[in-house]
Amino acid sequence: MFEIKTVAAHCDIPCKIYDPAVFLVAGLSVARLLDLIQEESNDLSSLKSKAQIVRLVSEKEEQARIVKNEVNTIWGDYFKQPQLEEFPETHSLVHQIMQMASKCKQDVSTQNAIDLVALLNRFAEIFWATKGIQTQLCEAPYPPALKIITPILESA
Amino acid sequence: MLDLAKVHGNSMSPTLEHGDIVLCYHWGSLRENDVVIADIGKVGMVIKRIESIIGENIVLKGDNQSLDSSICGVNIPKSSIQGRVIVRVSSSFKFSLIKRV
Repeated sequence: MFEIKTVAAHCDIPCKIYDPAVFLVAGLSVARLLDLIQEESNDLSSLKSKAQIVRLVSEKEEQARIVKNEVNTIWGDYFKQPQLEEFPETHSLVHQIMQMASKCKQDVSTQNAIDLVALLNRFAEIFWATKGIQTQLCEAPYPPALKIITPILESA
Repeated sequence: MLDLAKVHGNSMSPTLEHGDIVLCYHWGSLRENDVVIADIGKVGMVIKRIESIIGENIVLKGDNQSLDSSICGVNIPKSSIQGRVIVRVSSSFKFSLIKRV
């Protein structure tokens, strides 16, 4: 008698869904938090404003950490030889993102976050290109209204 | 030796669909584009197509281009292969041969 085994033909265990949206929102959050830190630093006379600065800096750290984690996951788990051969700049780009995200954690310059989002946009553009999905550069509909890469998806 | 297995998932669509029964055998040499069953350690038994054979390693791929897998595109020992799939039985009991594409 034959024994019937079950063989897996699914996408992964656990099933992984990759989307640059997560690291892009985190990157925009870093930029927004840096703006708020600049605003809050104008008057640090009260305990409340000092507590608010701590809160904003802490959240900036967290959002920069999310950027690094999400980019690492897509780079490490999704990108394989065919994608890397098609886009040989990927390793260098991811390294630049790691460095820039660290600069955002260490410093309070908004320009670092703007540069970070530009690098993230290029990574998102490459990611969607490997899937044959076209992208567009759109202005984010919330402050600081930086431009972000979004996929052009067909409606259901 | 012949073996039967039930497909779970859609990564081999349209060649194989979820719920299909496949017949595989365990002899003969492997070639690129063979559909095979592999035992991938912690992941378990998977069904994929051979993308390339490099020495004693193989690289697997799914036929469904819209799905990604961490076990595809990476080197896996040839010894992981449990057999080559030769016949598909669909859920509507239609029999078909699995071809190298």
